[in-house]
Amino acid sequence: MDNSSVIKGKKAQVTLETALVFVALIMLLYGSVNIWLWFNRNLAERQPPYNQTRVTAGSSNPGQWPVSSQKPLTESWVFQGK
Amino acid sequence: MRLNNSAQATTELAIFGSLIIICLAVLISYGQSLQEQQILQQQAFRAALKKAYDENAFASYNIIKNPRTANLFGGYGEGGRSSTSAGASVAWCLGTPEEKSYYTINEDEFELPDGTKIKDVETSTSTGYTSQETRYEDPTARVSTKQARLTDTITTYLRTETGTDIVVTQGLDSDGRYRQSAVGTEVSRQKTWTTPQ
Repeated sequence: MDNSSVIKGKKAQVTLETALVFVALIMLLYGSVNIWLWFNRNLAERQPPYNQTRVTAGSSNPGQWPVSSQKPLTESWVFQGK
Repeated sequence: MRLNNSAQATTELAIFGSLIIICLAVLISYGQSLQEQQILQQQAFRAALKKAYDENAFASYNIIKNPRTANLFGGYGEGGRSSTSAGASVAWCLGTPEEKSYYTINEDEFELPDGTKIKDVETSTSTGYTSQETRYEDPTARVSTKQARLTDTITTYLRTETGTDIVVTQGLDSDGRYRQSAVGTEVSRQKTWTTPQ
């Protein structure tokens, strides 16, 4: 094997290793973005029922607290986004 | 020298990967704190509104919470403690209102004496943590046990303008919340796993 073959082989090794770890990194990034989207959805979904119950909250029948239940962070949400 | 290049990309990603993971962890914990802040602000306003209606008053309501958080750098079952607070003042009354002021510190709510003005809030904490790992081996399996014991105490000082502090000491309870009745409570965690030989 001449020198150029060795160098080409090493380059391919780096590419292969990067490709393997890149998949793991993309999955990690995807999961993290989905967790962020879960936070975002919770922030958005908590506000309307809170606003809608504001007037009754200052009455003799204030209702229950909290006014909305938080959706659980599930595996399918993190890995599939649904 | 060329031989040293083997697994170079993996090594580089192992180093920079940990930095990437830390960045993602910081972003996620930031999202968590935003969420806690929103919940607490809504809760403080709602509680102030209820107090104002119930007592026909100008009500001020403050909440201080210390949620337990995951701690990547801590031992098994050690966890961490964060701090978040929110306050709201509501006038919801007929006629001339009374001024009322309430504090909820973690799980304990109390009303401040009339006319008390809080100028500063300080906290001090003390933590006791011990962990133990035992391993038992026989010809068929290896049984490992990890056990952790944690006591955590938070003392909150409400500094008043008159110089008389209101001091609230709370301990960590087994449900992960702090309350006055749990001072001195030891929270223990244990896990056992078996590895076939």
